[in-house]
Order: sequence, then structure tokens, then C-alpha cells
Amino acid sequence: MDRFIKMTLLLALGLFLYSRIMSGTILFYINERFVTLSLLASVGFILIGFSYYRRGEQPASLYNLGRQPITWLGLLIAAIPIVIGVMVEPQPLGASAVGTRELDVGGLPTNESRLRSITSPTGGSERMGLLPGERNVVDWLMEFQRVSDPSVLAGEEARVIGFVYFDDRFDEDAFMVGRFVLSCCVADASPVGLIVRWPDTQSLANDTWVEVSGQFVVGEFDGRTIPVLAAETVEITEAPAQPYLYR
Amino acid sequence: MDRLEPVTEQDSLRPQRQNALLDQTFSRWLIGLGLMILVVAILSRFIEGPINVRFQIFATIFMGIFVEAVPFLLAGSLVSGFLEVFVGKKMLERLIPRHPVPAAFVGSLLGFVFPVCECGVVPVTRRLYQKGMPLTVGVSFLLAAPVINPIVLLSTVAVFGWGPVVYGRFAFTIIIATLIGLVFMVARPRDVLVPESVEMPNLQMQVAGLGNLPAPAQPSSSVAGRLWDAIGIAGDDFLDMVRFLILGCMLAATMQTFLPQSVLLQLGEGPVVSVIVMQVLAFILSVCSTVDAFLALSFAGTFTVGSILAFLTFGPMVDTKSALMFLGVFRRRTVAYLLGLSFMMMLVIGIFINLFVNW
Repeated sequence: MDRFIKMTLLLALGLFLYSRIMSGTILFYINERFVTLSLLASVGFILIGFSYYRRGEQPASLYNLGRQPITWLGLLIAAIPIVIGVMVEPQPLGASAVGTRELDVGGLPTNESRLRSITSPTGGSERMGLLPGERNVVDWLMEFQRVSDPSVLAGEEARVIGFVYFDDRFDEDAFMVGRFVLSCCVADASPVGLIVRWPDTQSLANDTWVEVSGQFVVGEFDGRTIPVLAAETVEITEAPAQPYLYR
Repeated sequence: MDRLEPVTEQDSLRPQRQNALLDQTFSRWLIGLGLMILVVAILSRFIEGPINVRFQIFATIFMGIFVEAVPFLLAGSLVSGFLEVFVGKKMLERLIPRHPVPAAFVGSLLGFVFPVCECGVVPVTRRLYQKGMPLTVGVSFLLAAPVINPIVLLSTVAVFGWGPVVYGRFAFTIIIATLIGLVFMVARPRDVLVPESVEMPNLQMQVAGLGNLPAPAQPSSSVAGRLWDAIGIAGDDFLDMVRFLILGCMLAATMQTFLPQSVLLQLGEGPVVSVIVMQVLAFILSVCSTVDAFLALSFAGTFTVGSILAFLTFGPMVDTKSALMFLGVFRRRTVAYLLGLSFMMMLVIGIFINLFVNW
């Protein structure tokens, strides 16, 4: 019985992981660089599950002497990820999760000299060669940080995709086109975005995915001068298969 | 001497391998919390409104931490299984110096022999204790291995380049882990470890003590058989530890869903407060040590160097999910010591760097 329960748990875990990888929803949870590891793990779980089948009814070998059989409570806890995974439809973090995190819309105070002294000179600059039209939200924020004076970017054309986010701190005719940036998994995701000036904000709701094109103008947020995207068009689009950006 | 003391005959006759998870009141609370969240999960399917939204965020973050961590726990369990089957006690004893001080130092470097991160290190440590590894060595291995391994070295260098952050991260990890390991020099294993992790000194005695169980099968003799044995042990180890990982992930996800991170980050950038903030953040976030350097980079502009180093050094040693997993190896009080000692030591180092070192 013990063997059967353990086998079922491991097989279920393996199949669950595998199904999330195949449906692509695993990208709602973790950085894409970990997907290979998850795939290996799911194969591992299935393999180990089958090893229980192979083991037969013999009690644990000498190695496993005295190991307690799994209790119903232990079983319940071990099954929690599968239960939550099946009960709750996979959904990426969106506008409702922005509130509990530090929002970066550019112009955050940084100490340039300190940053330079502890980071490698090449780190993070590989995307700098992009054409302005190809830059995503994070690329633009890095560009803001590089030029530091927002008026330098005034007049630059931009086209970015993100979810709509409204905040009390924004003006009536403004919203944020946001993305979550993560390095490891959604636990460390932090929201970033560009503030968009657009007269028809009524037609947009939180979490709608939009593609915004326009030009940068100098604007203000929370007392800081930052580049604001004056939109020419705001089109509603599908959420991208890979909802997050990576550091 | 810090070698494991032999357990007395009477002790070994007691059926001492109880279920550690049920053993402790604290764990009962955690299990209660876990089950409560599960009930909310089921109910929230039928309720519209803010609870549903919060729960959706909780579920996503929980799955994120779990899915990211679980391959590493599996890898650690496999290392543990293979250690059990293929590595004899003699081999381990030759690896470790006899004197406790160099032994603890070697323990902190063992990560290069068993490259595991903070999730994988826990089942490996437990296995090493079962094989009679001295307490000091196990503790310094447990605390240091998440940083002291080739993968983390590479990722840290990739992000920060060869410089004070890399040197500092590795040096301070080794120093803190060795010192905390030495704290356990005079402790007795049975006071520090849960019964499951204590070495079985005399197999015959154990068999006599557990006389009502069927006689155990002998280890396989063929290589293929031993391979399957190792895989089976890995599976059992994994299922033992994964419950702690799940509870830890639930705790971390709950904190992240309801505590606004922005409040923490706005607390301060002073030389003292910034270090505390980054250590608390590292504890709550429970990010894997293999990639936390990328995350630290995003704080590098706004936070002090000392606090960045504290994030990169303290975080891998102890965080929400690994502290929970430690409960599968150590007694609750020991886990509190490990947490408190590493927090305080890194705090002192971080503040010292901020005040007196100009990087």
C-alpha cells in the first residue's frame, strides 16, 4: 500500500509537471531557463515512480531500515501542489499583483558610481544595440537609466506590449503599460512599466493586454521627472505566450 | 571530540525513528496552516471578489517557488541515494580531517564535491549524518554548499564580474559557515538532530529493536540492482523532504501575497537598516542561490554594497523554504540557532563593510 501511494504521488507529480511544460503554462511560474530542468525532473519523477513498481512488495532493503511508511497527513501535504495546480487555473501575475511590489516606471534614484564599481562593465548591456522600435519595456527603462536626462529621449518613437495597470498616482488620462520582470521565478517578479498618456482610458480595464505606439515626452510621476509615452495608438492584443521579461 | 558519540544500547532499543513532521507542535501549526490554505483554495473557486484574486496570486507564487525548487530537491535526493549505496563510511572519513577546525573548514568547501543548491543540500546533509559525519562538518556544509559550488560561482561572476562582490560572497560564506559549524563542536548529535538523521551505530541492535518488522532484504549485489536501490532511496528521501519544501513554499507565498514588498524596501537605505532589509527580503523571497545574483543586481543601484553582500550570503544559507526543510534534519531549537547565528553574523559583517570599507 505504502509503495503504491508513493508510486502514485511521484507519477502524478511527474505527469503534472510534464503537462504544464507541454501546455507552456510553466512559463507563468518560472524563468524559461529553468524549463529544461523541470523537464528533466518530470522524467525523473516518472522513472522513480516506476522503480517503486519494480521494487515489488519486499520491505525496504537494509538501507531503508526503520523508515516509517507515509502517513495520510504526509500524503495530503505531498499532494498539495497537484491539488492547487488542478484546482486553480494557471494565470500569470497581472495588474492585481502590482500593488504589493515596488513599481519601477523609470527615474528611480540610483547611485551610478556605486553601481559601476560593483558590476562588471559588460553585464546587462547586450541588448543595448537594439533599434528603438524593438525595445521592450525593460529595454526602455535601462535606456532611461543610461541617459538619465528624460528630455534626451523626447520625440523618440516606441512600440511596446504590456498589460494595462491603473494607479491612483497616475493622472486621469494616463495608465501604465506594464510587465513583470523576473530572474528566477514569480516569487521575485517585480513590476516595471511605462506611463502612457492616452485620452480614452475609460475604454481600458486593468489586465487588458495592449500594444502601445507613440512618442516620448517629458512628464512627471511621484515628483520625479520621467519620460512618458504619449500614445498615438493603443490596440488590444492577446497576452504573449511568455508573459514575463527576464533580467 | 566531535565524532558522533555512540548511542547507548538502551537508546537504540527504543523504536526511535518517529515521524519528525508530527513530532513537533510547531510543525502541527504549519500543517494546520497548510490545510487551511487548501480549504480556502477550494472555497475560493466558488467566491468572486478580492479573496479569489489574492488566492490566484498566492497560487501562482506558490507554484513558482515549488516548480523552480523541486528539480533541485530531486537532484539532492539522487545524490543522497547514490551516497548511501556507493560511498562507504571509510571513504567519507578519509575526506574529513580529524581536528574539528580544519574539518569544519573542509565541510564548508564540500559543495565542490557535491554541487547542490539550498534545496538539494538538505537531503544530502541528512544522509551524511546518517553515515556518521561529524556535526560540525554537516552544519558548515549545509550552510556553505548553496554558495560554494561551481554553478553559483559562475552565475555570480557573470553578473558582478571578478570583484569585491564575488570575493566577499565566497569568503564570508566560508567564514560564517565554518564558525557556526564550530559552535556545534561540543554538542551531542542526539540533542541537535531529529531521530531520523542520527547515525545508526549498530545495525544488529536496530534489527533487534525493531523486531516486529519483517527482516530487511539484503543490498543488491549487481551494479544494476544497486543502481535501482539508489533510485528507490532517492524516491523515499524525496518524499520525506518534499513535505517540508511544500510547507515552506506555502509560507513564503503567503507572506509575499499579503506583505507589501514596497513597504520593506522603503524602510531605509542607511548603512544599518539596508542590511537588515536585504536580509529579511532574502529570507522571505526564498530565491534559489543559483540565480539570486541576477536579482541582487537589480538592487545594486539603490542599496549599499554591504546589504547586497548580505543578501547574497545570508539568503542562500537560510530562507523560508530551507528553514522549513531544516526541520527534517535538525531539532527545532537547532534550526532557530542556525537562523539566528547566520543572521547576526552577516548583519555585523554587512554593517562593517558599509561603515569602514569603501568599495
